[in-house]
Amino acid sequence: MIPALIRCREVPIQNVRLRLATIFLSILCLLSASAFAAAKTQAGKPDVSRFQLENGMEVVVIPDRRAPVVTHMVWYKSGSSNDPPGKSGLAHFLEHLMFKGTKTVPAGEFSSKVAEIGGQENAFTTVDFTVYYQKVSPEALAMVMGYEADRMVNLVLTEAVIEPEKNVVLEERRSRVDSSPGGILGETVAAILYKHHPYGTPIIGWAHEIESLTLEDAMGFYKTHYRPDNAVLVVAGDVEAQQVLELANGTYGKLAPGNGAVPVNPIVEPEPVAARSAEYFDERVTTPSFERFYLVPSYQTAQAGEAEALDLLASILSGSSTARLYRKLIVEDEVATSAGAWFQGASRGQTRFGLYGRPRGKYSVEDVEQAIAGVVDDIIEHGVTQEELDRQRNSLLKSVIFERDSQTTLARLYGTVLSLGGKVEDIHEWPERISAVTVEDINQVARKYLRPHRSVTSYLRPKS
Amino acid sequence: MIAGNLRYETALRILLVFLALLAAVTTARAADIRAMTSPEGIRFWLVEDYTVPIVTLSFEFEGGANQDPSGKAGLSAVLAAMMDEGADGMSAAELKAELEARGIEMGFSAGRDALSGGMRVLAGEVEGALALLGGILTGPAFEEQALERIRAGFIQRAVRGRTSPGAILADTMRERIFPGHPYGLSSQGDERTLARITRSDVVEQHARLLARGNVTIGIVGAITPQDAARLVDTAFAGLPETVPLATVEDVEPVFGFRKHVVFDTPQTTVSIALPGLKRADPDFFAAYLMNHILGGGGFSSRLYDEIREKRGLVYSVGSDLTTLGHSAYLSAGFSTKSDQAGQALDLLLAEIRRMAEEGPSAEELEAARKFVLGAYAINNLDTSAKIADGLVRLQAEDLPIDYVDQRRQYINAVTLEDVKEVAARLLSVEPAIVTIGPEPVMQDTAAN
Repeated sequence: MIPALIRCREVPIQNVRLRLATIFLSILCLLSASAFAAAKTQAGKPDVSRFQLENGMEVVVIPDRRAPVVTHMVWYKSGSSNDPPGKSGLAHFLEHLMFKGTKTVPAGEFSSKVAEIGGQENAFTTVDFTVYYQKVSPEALAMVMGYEADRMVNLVLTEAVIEPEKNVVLEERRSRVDSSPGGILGETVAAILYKHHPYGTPIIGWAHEIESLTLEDAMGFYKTHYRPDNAVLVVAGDVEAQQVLELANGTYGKLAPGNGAVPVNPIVEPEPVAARSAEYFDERVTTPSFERFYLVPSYQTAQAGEAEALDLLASILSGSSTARLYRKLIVEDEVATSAGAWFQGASRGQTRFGLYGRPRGKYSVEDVEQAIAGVVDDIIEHGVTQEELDRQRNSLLKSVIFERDSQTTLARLYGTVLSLGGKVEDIHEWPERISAVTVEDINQVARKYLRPHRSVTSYLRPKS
Repeated sequence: MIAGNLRYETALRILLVFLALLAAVTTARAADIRAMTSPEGIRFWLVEDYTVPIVTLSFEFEGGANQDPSGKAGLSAVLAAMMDEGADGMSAAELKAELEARGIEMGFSAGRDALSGGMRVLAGEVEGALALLGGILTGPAFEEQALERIRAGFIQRAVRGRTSPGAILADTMRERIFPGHPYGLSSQGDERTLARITRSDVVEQHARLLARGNVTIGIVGAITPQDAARLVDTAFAGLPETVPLATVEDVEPVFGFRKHVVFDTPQTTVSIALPGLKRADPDFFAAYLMNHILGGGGFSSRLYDEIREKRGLVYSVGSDLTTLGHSAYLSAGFSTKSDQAGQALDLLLAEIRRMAEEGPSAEELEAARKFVLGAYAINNLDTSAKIADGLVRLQAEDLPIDYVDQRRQYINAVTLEDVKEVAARLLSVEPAIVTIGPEPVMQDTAAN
């Protein structure tokens, strides 16, 4: 179960787990709810430094000296929810076009320089932000910072690159959406859940609007959103903070801030009023599945403590094999082959809490729906126990230490939180806030948010 | 999940892991690898590192799906899924609660050539964790109820695969290039083979695969050599000395056929296979560099440039060298809108022909050499799990602890002529081509 919000320009083939054919099918680059929940627990307080350049660009440095590797990421605080009306997919299309060269750097030169030293690179777009990154040896950090700073302001596009790249994106859409019954239904569900906010529009865009995007559209988005005062630089790995700051001043620091205030998306999703549902039949579906999405606050929009309580509620429902949904549906009642819950806390606007399940053997998707509703209703009626709260909380807090084993995970965590408008302290104080959550806090968010009128239910069914 | 699912299928990538590890050991501050032997005589490799207070363990037992009995494909995968379903007098629920309470991450998986496992634990819990692992390895419960639950999930996935173009394509290719060999069977089984598996099959497969003489172990993290040696015995010394594995023959894949599977999807997916080389082959590194230039290079390969960058025909295209325990092949492919699949396939075959006939340019070879030499540490050294996996692969392939120097020399010694020769040899063979989509891309032909 994955609330897919991130799309990649490309996944380097050599990093993909290989089967003869599946290597060629596109691989989603996902920031799943659970991944974020786990990542969010990072707060063993690594020696993190934060700076701000004079032009407004934020800088975070996360040293990890164990291996001669550095992860360099630039996060623009604009994503598909900033696409103008009628231009869905524009932020993502521009992400692809950012590899086409600048005033002084021919197309392909940056990628060649990264490849020359065996580095990795990629980019991805979410509803809230767009990210470019490279993983290189420490000696190459200055080089990638120079190229990345150059393409923040000097991109050059020609008509010759627009059509082929548009076709690449349309193929990407066919792979991710048209080839996936779940992807097709997911687009409809998002559109129903968000009746006003652009989170209801696909990141990759609707096909007919992708087809109509122009060079001028791309340059317009670029000039509006790609500026140092709308960006966060994250460097993790074998580096010193002071050295990164000097390099940043010599590259990004030389860029002028954008003109006027950074554009923000002012749209706020209104409170939901009616329970909704969607049903999709597809010949490619063999086992039906059930999902329910509730509109809930995110870490950015919630009242103090509510998002933490929602994270723990999701853990109590499905954080482990002792969690309620697994125990009840899969082990005890044997009605489902899979069942779970997730909370996507990382979001600038109102976000989603999800429940899902797939029936086992003689059971129907309605049986699974009822069983899941029974578990949720039990929590709403009787509440969670102190024992299960303690257990799931301990797991979350222990995972904080595990997260320190990966510079990539740390870089993504800090980049995500800062891009959404959060602070380094939000990450470092997260364990304390999780520790403060009570049984009553969890019961309250369950009763307040897991209500039918806030939800969209989806059924994916075989077409016979 | 620490353990990879399809280890030997990714052997080449993993090869880079341990080379990377060694590269770092010789060039950077990473701790030394120690080759150790436990008091009970079990060998393992250790990297001691106290930066983060965790211990990561990776291990594998030789013989995975290639040891599945006739008609019971998927048995090793089911065994792997059953390993943590109760052990040592604890029910499945009790064991899982215990692992969770101690913050122990543990996973098992079966690949084509090995049953693999991995564990990650806070340093303060390592004693209890290895004791639990010992109980799991030597006394798994294999509850009937758990078997039925796992079987139901496996069968559902197998049935789902029958309407997944990617799965159909992979199954079709595997069956046709490895007819009559264990590699031709699905390591995850199908509805019929899974339905036949009984609890006693699982018990027998456990006895067939798990032995001290059959295991390779790598440990990374905050643990002393003395503690590591003692705890290796805690976890593994209770296993029998040896097990009788069935002999798996080396196999040359079948090439030279074309097969289209009619399936109504918005894209046609194309997969081709050509001869590869095993790592022990003297020309392996020439082939590796050649593949990198052809389609292994992410944003800069010939296939990427010609098919995606210049023409926008695909989102993803590439090639890969796959090394199995008993075979090797080179594969390539893509997905695209069905009415342009033929055009993209023509381009793919033309690039393969061009590489076979002309080889790479000197500049391409130098760029590939730089990439391959530089990529180890970047790709493979940044987490303990990757390093532990690398330690396992190194030992499993019987390579020396200082192999990186040799490997660097091998790569530096590859000449343009070597690459041209190996390209001509591997890529002149008529490929196996499997396609899936609404319309045939080309006429079916049988292998010679």
